[in-house]
Amino acid sequence: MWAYIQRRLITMVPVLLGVSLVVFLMLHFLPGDPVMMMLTEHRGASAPTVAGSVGSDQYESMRQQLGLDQPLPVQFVRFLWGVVQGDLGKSFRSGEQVRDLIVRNLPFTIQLAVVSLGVAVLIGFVLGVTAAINRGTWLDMAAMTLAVIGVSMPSFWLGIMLLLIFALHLGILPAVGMASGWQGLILPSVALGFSAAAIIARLVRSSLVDVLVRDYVRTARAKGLQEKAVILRHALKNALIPVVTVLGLQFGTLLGGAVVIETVFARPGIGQLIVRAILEKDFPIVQGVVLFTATAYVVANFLVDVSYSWLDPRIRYGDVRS
Amino acid sequence: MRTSISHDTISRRRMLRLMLVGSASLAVAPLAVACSQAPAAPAAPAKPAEPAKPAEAAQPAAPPAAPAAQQAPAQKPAEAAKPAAAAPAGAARSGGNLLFVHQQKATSLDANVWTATNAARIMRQIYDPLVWQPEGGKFVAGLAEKWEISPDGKVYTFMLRKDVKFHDGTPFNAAAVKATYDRILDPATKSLQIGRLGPYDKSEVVDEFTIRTTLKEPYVPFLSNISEHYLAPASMAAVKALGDKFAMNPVATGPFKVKGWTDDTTFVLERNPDYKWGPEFWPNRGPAHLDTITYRMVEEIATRLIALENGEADIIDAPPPQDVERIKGTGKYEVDAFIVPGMPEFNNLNITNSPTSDIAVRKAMQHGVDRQALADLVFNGVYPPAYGPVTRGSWAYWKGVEDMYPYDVAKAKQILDDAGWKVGSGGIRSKDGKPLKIRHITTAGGFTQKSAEFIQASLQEIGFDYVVDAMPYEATVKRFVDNEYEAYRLFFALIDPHDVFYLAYHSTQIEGGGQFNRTRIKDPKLDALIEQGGREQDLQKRMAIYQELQKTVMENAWILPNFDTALVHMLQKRVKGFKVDLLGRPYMSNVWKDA
Repeated sequence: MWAYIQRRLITMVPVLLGVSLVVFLMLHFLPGDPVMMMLTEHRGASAPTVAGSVGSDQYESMRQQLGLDQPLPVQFVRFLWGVVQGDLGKSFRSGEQVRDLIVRNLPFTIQLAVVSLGVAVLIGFVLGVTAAINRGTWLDMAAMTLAVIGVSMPSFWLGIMLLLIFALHLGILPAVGMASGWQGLILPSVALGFSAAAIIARLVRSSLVDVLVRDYVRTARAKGLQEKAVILRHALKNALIPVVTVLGLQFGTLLGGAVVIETVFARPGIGQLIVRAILEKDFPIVQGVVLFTATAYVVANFLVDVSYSWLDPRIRYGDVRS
Repeated sequence: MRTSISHDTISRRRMLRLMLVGSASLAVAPLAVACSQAPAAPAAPAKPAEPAKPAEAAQPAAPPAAPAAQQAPAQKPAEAAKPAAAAPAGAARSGGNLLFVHQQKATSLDANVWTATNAARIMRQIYDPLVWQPEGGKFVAGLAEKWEISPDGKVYTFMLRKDVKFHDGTPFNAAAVKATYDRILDPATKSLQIGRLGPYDKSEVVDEFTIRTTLKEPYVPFLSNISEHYLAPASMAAVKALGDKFAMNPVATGPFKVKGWTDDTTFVLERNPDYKWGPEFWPNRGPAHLDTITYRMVEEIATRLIALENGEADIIDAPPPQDVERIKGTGKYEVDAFIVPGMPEFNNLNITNSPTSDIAVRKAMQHGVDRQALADLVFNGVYPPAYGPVTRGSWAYWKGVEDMYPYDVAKAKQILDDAGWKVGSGGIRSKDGKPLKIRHITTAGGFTQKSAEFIQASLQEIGFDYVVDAMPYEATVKRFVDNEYEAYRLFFALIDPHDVFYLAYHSTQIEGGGQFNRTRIKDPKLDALIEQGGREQDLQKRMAIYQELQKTVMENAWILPNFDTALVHMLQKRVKGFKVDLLGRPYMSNVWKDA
């Protein structure tokens, strides 16, 4: 087991290196010059812009100050060298440390992802269990139809619909409520958690349907247990194992989905940070956030893998000899 | 893994249980935290817009549409109905927070360093300039009580107010002004405002409250540039103390000071209680009416509109044009559309490449595109069509351009026929074997591409092979540098007409990389006229020069104008005293909210 963990940790390094390199190359090879953009600030956006004349010496000196005049390999090595020392660099524009930006914005994204996961679990279990115990009836159909809709509906669209209904027509929840207020958290987390809820619902249903025909469930029923106890204590518990492992992976997906939802609901967070940085070609922020997110994702996957052996004792890693 | 089986299974069960409990409590925890915070901040106004109370109907705050005809050059029709300075100061109500929901986050609020519309509207509240420009070409006292310009136009002497303090309490004086300019000029500052200092030579502190700035050559837009917050003095003590943090928490002398960032999307300004140096054209020259202004960045346009319509937002910016009419129609909101001075949305026609090197082709293009229809289609008539090199929002605007090229397809065809561009196979014209092909460079997506496609459809009908090359802005710059285009979309908001002509038509603005003379005109006579406009101090004479320049540009059909751009704000009716500066940024000191 320990050898396995060691090996996994070592293989993380090339993965993260690869991610960094790909992002670095993408940023540099896509058309667009961050300095020119800063100097002219023309995004073709609807807001008119103001700028003075741009001289070529001003352009050159700014490239120099940002280190963009260096050859690409040098820039990449500099970035890596910084990362090794815990320095993700500074924003081209505001000059803030990327590390500080991440630390400041991360709690909002985690808050959203965690609450969304809670919403997903709640909706997912209610739908899944309802469907499973009413298999073949209209309730099953309705729940699973809702699940299919949930999986296929883009979260930004759902977000806007929720805003229209609850913020505009009913007027009971804020549209741009401050991020710290709990009211401001309801709509984004439902919009974000709904597709995860649908996935969980389908998984809970199939897993529960599987379990419900097992002998021990028949035994439990034969013992004269109430249906509630049979479902909750005996069946659901055993149906949970695949669901729990999926939750870990869904959490990563939710972190990713936060990018869209944070934009629709104008919430602060990692997603908002990187979207803006991409639009503004603020390379250090994009690189830093991608590297950070990739690390989080790789670590989460690693933990899920390791937890398998805990969840199911039959799974063993690294015991090649036995 | 040599532990006993029983231990293993127990810990597995326990772990499952723990995971369930754990994930549930994790899910609830932030809610609980948020709940406990909620009573302390009962701010979230989630109610739909309340109907106006009849008791307040007697408010004299909304004056009848007083035609401000005497200010003709700087004024435009849409602005006539504005509250302007007419609202009596007594009607103002003090206090409260105003929620300003805007599209883009300001990347830096350091006015001496950074430039961008989204930041400028906040900077304007924090930074007071030495002089103000209430109308194009007219200046009034700001932090400088008086000023003198030497007859040769090179030396500017400013006599400063003695009672001004920066937000951090440090005194404002001539040394502070000089230090601000020195900081802008220091390459380490990476300031984008160096160009605004023009042919700056040096500044001297004559005495504590007198500063003398010398230019290397006469440069009339200098005073106009001074009137912008970009060259406004900042507290050097704060620059030193805050270091990197200064960019997001600037300290200057304006009616509002930085309270801070709630998070990366929300920024709060609070009233500067010591403020008493507002310019004479403001109804409120003392401390601001509002306690605080909350700027909230909401990128998604639908969300901004919902925030307005459910009453949360007091002001929103950049609404989608297709919604402007609908919002106006409800009668529940004020809509403020400000025509931005400077260059309109237009296309440079490259005179060094065929076929736009042929003046007949360029003239045919003017007649061949229905600019009114273009403006109506792209912006639902919110933006007016443009016919010349400067917008209606510029004080130098010359109406004569409007009649030069009426929309007339038959005439456009006639001009092309007469010039030898004959219709060939597939309806494409050609001359001496060269097709009438135009590559139109524009930024991809949005209204710029839509405009280009409208022009394409119009000109294809009269025999052009019109190609729209839409790409990211930075990629368009490369096409300019490589001279691989015939038409090139551009737009610039600029107060002083000198900048318009210098940037887009002066021969020095072709080579180098990011320049804007994309028509590629090199004409010494034209250069001389542009330079003369930059030196001339008499407003009437300048007006004549710019009229001449507008005429010259359009007689040569060097550009194909599309439409004037407007900055649109939508306001709740409860917001009073809203007025914008010459580039469309609100003066928030005069704004108040009805209860």
